[in-house]
Amino acid sequence: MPIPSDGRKWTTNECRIKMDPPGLDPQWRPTVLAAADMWNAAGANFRFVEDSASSNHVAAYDLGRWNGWIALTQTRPKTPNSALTSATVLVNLHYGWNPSHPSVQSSPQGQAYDLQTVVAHELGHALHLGDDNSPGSTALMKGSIKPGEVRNLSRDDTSAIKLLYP
Amino acid sequence: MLAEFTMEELCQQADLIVEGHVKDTNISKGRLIVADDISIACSRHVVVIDNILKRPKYQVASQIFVVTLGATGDKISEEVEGEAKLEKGKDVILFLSKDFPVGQAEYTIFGGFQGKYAVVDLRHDRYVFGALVEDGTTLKNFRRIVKTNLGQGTLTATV
Repeated sequence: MPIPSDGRKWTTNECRIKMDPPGLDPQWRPTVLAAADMWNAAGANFRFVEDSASSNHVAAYDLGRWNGWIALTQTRPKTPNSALTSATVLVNLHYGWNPSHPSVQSSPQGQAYDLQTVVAHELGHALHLGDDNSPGSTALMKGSIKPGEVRNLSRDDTSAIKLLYP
Repeated sequence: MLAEFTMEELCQQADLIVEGHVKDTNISKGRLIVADDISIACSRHVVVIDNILKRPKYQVASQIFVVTLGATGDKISEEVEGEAKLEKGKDVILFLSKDFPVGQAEYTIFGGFQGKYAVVDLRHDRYVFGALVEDGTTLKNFRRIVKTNLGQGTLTATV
């Protein structure tokens, strides 16, 4: 499981995150919280905490096809070896989701991406974990996903988060 | 996180598929505005085209710019996990699109890491390495796979 080598991480051992910004349907909140709880239960010294006053957030916009990017995470600051202070997870509403979003035309169940799996993957990036694209990888942090595919934290995911936040 | 593509989907959905040589890389491109307060640093790479495997209807220059998400420098480390990485001097096969708002001679890589393949000289032949090919696939066979997935040929044995 790759951990980026630029030395960035959260030094507060928590990330406060807002779950209800524009674009993110309120019906998605429980799913996003469940994704955060997957990491909270991993046994590492780190927690995602819901905070409506936080500037860290999970947002949703229709970006179009966008080369197949279904979600993306941005963390700040960008300078190497700095303490992370901000994270934004962006979900692309061009694609179908399960549970569905009211502004997205519903797609057949098999064509929709599992929101909890994808948001949990992106929150892994918010923690500053990298993708695991090794052949045959079943890790949550594998960088690509098929519609309908549901993943949980693998042993590699759990080891990585414990290593980064012991 | 990226949608997981098959080689057929990659071939069908990319606008342009090229074999080429990365002449220069990691030229700062500025920031791509994604939404409201969200923007992403981008890099620009110069690719000299040796062969076109899928040609769009419009004219393609012999030298193009490829824009990738993320930028790395002395004071910036904005890597976008999943994006393809280009290295100066390397031979590559790229599946390209114009999905992001880019300039006329600029392209982006379709499918992120799934859309870039390294071409390497080994044992008197040229081999292709990347996410959606078996190890040991020769360049000749890779071209055949692309042609077949574009409906332009018949797929024969791999490796």
